[in-house]
Amino acid sequence: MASPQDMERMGGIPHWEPENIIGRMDLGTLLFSHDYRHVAIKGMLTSLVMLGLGGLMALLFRTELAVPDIQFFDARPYMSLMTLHGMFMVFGFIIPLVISIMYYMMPKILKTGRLIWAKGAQWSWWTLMVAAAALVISRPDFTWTFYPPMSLRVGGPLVWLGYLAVLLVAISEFLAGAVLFANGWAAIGKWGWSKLPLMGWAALAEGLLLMGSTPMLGLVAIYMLTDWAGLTAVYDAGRGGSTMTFMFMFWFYGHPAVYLPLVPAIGILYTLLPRFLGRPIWSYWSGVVAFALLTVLSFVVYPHHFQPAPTISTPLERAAQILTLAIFIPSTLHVFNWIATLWYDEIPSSARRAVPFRFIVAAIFFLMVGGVTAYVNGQIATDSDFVHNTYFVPAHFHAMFVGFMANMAMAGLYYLYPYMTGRIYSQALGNTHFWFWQIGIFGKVSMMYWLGYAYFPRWVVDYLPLPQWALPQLILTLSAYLIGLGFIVFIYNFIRSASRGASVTGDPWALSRDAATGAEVPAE
Amino acid sequence: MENALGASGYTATMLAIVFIVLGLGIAALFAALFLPARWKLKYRMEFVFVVLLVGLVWYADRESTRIFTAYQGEIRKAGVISSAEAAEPGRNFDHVIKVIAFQWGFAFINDEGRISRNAEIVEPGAKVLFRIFGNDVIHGLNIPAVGITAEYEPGVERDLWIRAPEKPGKYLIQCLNYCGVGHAQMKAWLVVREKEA
Amino acid sequence: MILRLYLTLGLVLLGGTAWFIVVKQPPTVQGVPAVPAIVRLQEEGVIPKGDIPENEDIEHDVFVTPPEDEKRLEEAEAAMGSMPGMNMGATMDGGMQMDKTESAKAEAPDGSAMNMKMDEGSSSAAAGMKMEGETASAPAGGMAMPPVMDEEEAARAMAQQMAGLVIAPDGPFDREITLSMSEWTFSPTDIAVKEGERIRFTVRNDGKLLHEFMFMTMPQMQAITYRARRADWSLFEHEALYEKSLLLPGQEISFVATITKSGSWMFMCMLPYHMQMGMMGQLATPGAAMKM
Repeated sequence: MASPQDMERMGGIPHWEPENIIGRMDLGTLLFSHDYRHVAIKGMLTSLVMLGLGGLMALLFRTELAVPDIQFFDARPYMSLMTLHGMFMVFGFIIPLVISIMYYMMPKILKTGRLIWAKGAQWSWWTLMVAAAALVISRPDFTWTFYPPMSLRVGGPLVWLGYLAVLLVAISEFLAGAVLFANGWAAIGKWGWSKLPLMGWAALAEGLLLMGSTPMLGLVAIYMLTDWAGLTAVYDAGRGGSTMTFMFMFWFYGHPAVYLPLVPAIGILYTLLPRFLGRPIWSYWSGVVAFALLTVLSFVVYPHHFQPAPTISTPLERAAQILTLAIFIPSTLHVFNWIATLWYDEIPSSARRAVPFRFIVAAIFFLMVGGVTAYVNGQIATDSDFVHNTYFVPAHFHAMFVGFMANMAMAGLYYLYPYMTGRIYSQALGNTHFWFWQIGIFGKVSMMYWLGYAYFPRWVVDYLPLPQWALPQLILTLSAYLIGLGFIVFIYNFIRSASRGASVTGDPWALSRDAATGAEVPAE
Repeated sequence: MENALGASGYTATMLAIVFIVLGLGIAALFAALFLPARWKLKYRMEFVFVVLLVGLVWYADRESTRIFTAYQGEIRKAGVISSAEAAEPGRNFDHVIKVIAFQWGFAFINDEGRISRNAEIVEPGAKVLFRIFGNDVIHGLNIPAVGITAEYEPGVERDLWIRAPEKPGKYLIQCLNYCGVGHAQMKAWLVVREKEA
Repeated sequence: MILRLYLTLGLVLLGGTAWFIVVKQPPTVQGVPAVPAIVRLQEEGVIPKGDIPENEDIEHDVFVTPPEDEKRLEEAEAAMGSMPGMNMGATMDGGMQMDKTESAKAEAPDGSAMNMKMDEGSSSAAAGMKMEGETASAPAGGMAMPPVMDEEEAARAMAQQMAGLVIAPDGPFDREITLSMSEWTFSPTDIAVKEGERIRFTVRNDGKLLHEFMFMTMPQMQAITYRARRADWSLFEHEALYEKSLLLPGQEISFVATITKSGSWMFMCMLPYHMQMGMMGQLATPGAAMKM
């Protein structure tokens, strides 16, 4: 299995000379440099601010939901908190963060030496900043999926800034997709199709997902603007429009949207696992097929977001059901591949000690937790029972977004930390962050699944004081606080270690096991 | 769990599959991490795995389609429900109730043409068809006790039927799609009560 | 330096956004459809046009009144004077020598109407406690059990008498007022009335959504504000002087209101958030108008 060809397919080693890149950046470099490491670092740091913002919004509304009855918020500000939470987390935190980590790693892995079209990455970041500002100023309360006609009639006079923010996000994501695709494409020229590192495949897949889906999101945003202004009546049912049109258009973006942070996270995992284990992924082709299958299927499964519609039982609905169930398969191929990779040989103690490796393991765990429920989400019969629009759906996507993707993003950040700062973070604080998060995420996800099964509705500022609802909500809130605490520990670690951490020279992720002989090399 | 979709064993089976697959996955992950013995899987194992998954997908599709087609079949048996005709109660359903969902409440118009707000009365075990019309924005309708939910766009009729619970009492009906500030308060009672002689 | 910059900017952004949403709360805005689906459905004949008769089977016991309401009603009345609709410091009505709390219990419209007439003092306490709608059992000893409907109507009639606003389906009147409801207001909002006046009201839903119409005294309103934004709002009864639970767009109702005392009475639509967004007004005799 560990043939030279397999090793070659893992790409260049993601290793740089550890240096204090962050420390030497000034405002000019931060804002305008095209050096891929500066661009990536800027993306990462900004995403962390968005994580803080989205997380604060969540903690605020979680506090309201901890016990029944209204304590702090009326429905309007509560929904603004929830809308901003969703939009900041998806558009501002997780997608840009995993893409920025890819920007950092691709030049080494794909051996291109630079980020091709870094300018596009720059523009993508600036557009996202304007979008974020527009969103905060308009503080819309129309939920992150802004279904019309409700979304056309709420929010106040500045709600159009919210639609504009969506348009800008579409443009920002499109640009990022173009950058990733360009880098993947250039790498094919360099490596050939059968030896392209899995991160290159991830770049191609992600580029296609982004460029294929975002134009539709942009169009949706434009129609929202024109409908709101009274120029058109595409979605407004009160004036002759059709909400089903919105559903088809929005979810055509909306389903690929959930794979936008997934694919880079998987690419990062395929890159870091061999690095920590000192051996290649168990099956290269399984990874390639899984990426290809996911990319193609994600454009055709989207009706499941509004199933079952009045057109139920027609061939279209059934096809959507079958394809939705089928798309569960590529993700299981990845998990199978990773477990097989872990299993086929020894795991060096250097890996077991490494904080990023822990986050990788946790990510795989939660991908399974979130992924298996896709089996009941996709079936129209169970969907029509306890899944659709109950907490079961947020349980699934939080297990994925937080349990898998956020954990993988953290793995990437901890991994790159010595390379960006020249120092190592505090291991103790890293482990504290890790455990706070996993306990918190597990509590959150399990409580949400239970509440969904008990028909707890989505998007509510208050709920009936039923014991099967009240106690899990309280535990959920406490879990959220634990995750928030973990985040604070992480930020503290990140900032403090950048000036006080132990300096690193050489390879911070050197294997404790000699690759050739298999003997353990004592850690230095 | 007995539910409107007529699927008591089905949910349990699907959830059991979910838990079993998850359990196996977690066991495999932990084994790979902590068992001293190492296992070099052959490539064909993954093909076997995919075949098993395809089998699970086929099974899920078959069961879900069987249940939902039967459910929709009951509505179709009542005849074509065009906007100008009402389905006659007695043809396939004991009651046909029109529901108007608005911001923020439900209006029920029963067989006798009487309107009520946020409550409707049915007999235990009655087969009831709800013809739902949203007035303004997308709303949802969910009855936890019978396990059915749907969302519907304004102006487009959505048909949902249930077999009312056997035990008399008041059961919750809730809106299950964000429809504005009153969404959390958009609740109603399904009152199950023996018909007075 | 960059890290410090990000930390500072981050904290400012977090604090600022939280303040902007939570402290400087954005106003609730809710637009309405240009053409509500219900109008179209009525034109197509799917839903009957005109007045749809109410379902009488939905009795008092489907929507019960929480015991907490009763407690708060007492407190509100104690704070405002025992006879809502009376000016502060005016003489007690009807010569009833009761202290304030007793009268508050006595007026609770829970079917204790009979008790009131018989015995102003002690028994009304027991009657007052029984706020649940199970009024079919229980009235005062020696009385034949009245049908629930009449009991409810009688209770309401009693409450109207006490409050000074008596409402009848029809009758002679001194003037006419058209009250138009739309999203999210009534027109007119403030109506000046005189003691002894009889007014024929036509309440019309000129809006695009379904609405409700009620008359309440200020203490009755205060009794339920504690749960007005709670999830269970629609599942419970809120006591009022007069209620028409559903008015479809275009529908109108009319009644004759007789003002028998000086005071003020609120009218509103209490569907979730409708009142909070502005659907409220008041009738008041000179000098009695409340700040809303």
